[in-house]
Amino acid sequence: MSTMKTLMKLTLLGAACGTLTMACSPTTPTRELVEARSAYNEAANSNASELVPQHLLSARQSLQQAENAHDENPGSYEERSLAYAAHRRALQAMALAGQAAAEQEKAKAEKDYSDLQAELLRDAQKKAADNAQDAANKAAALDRAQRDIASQDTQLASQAQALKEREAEIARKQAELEKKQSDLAAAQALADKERKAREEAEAKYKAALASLEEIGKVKEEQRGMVITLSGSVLFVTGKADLLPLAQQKLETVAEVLKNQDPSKKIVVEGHTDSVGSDAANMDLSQRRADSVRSFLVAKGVPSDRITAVGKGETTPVADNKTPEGRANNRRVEIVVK
Amino acid sequence: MKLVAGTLSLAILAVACGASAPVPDAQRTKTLGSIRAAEAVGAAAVPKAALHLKMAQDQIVTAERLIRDGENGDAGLVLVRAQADADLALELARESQMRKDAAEARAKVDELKKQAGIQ
Repeated sequence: MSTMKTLMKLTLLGAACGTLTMACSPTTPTRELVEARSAYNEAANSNASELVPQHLLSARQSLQQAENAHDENPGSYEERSLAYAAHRRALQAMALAGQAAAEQEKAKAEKDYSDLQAELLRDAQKKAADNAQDAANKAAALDRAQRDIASQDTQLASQAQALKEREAEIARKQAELEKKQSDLAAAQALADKERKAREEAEAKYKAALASLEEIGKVKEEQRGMVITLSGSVLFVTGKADLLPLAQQKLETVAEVLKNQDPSKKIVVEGHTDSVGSDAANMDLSQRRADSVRSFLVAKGVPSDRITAVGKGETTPVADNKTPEGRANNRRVEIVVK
Repeated sequence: MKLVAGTLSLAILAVACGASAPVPDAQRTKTLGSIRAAEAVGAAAVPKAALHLKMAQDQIVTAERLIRDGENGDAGLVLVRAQADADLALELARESQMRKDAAEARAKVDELKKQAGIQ
């Protein structure tokens, strides 16, 4: 600040001296002095007063010495030399101001560079942080997706297992069904076979029954089916031996009995007329019943199904007074219960 | 600059004293020092600075001739001129260098902006 004040004082003093010199001496200043004044004025009006005031003051002092020389000895070599030097000092002040300005510009550029670097670094760090966050988000999303896939895989595996088990169950049931169908077919075939056999047996039974009816009476009573064979057809009078014709007829009876329900019991009952003693008739009827039973067993009727009972003359079916009635009473009844 | 002013006073005094002035060895030493300083900062490579450096060098030659002729007073004034030119050459060279440095610094900023994609 003091430098600036001094500079202003000197400037005013120079102007005053110049005016005084011109007033006291009309001598024209040298070309060098004119150029020095011009250069100084240019320097004083430039940024040198602000940037390098000390140097501008020195330039002013150099000019003043030239002015003094001009006052003392106008046009002298001394004046010209000092003005020459003052001119250079003014240019030097402007060069120094240029240096200061350049230095300021350089400092500003370096600061700009540093600030820009810092800004770019912050941007890069922020971008890196954003990228890291983005990568973390993507990684998290990927992790979730992988977990979802794993979960879906597990579900699929579970469903596949369930499907496999269901398929196995279906296959098992299919096999069972096929087996049942097979069994059913077999059962059906068996049933058909049995039905056919039964039908055949029934037909055979009916045929046998029809043939039986040719040799005796067949009727249903409360005690069961009763086949009545005439004693004259089966035995010689007073004997228990079967006649050959009787054997032939009893084979038909045996055939009928074998084809019946095996749970049914068979009772062979022997009956006589009232001729002779009761005891003899009872004995004869028993032997005749035994004889028939033995024959039927021999022809295949199970022995545990069949029993023989002699009834004697106790159960007549006709009047013993007539020959026809006695013939009817002499009989063998086979009762199927 | 104060030294310069003092030197100028001595030179003026020597001139005022007439032909009996002493050889201006001190001024010659200072002027030569200024010339060497200007040369050291590369003034010869800066056109404006090179012009003033050349003028200073030529004036040294003139001053030496005047000293040999016994014209010590004029020799002192020529040396004052030479020193002013040498000092100016020095500062012009420095200014050039400083402007170049500033331009380079600004270019670095511009290059960085360009690399960063900033307009």
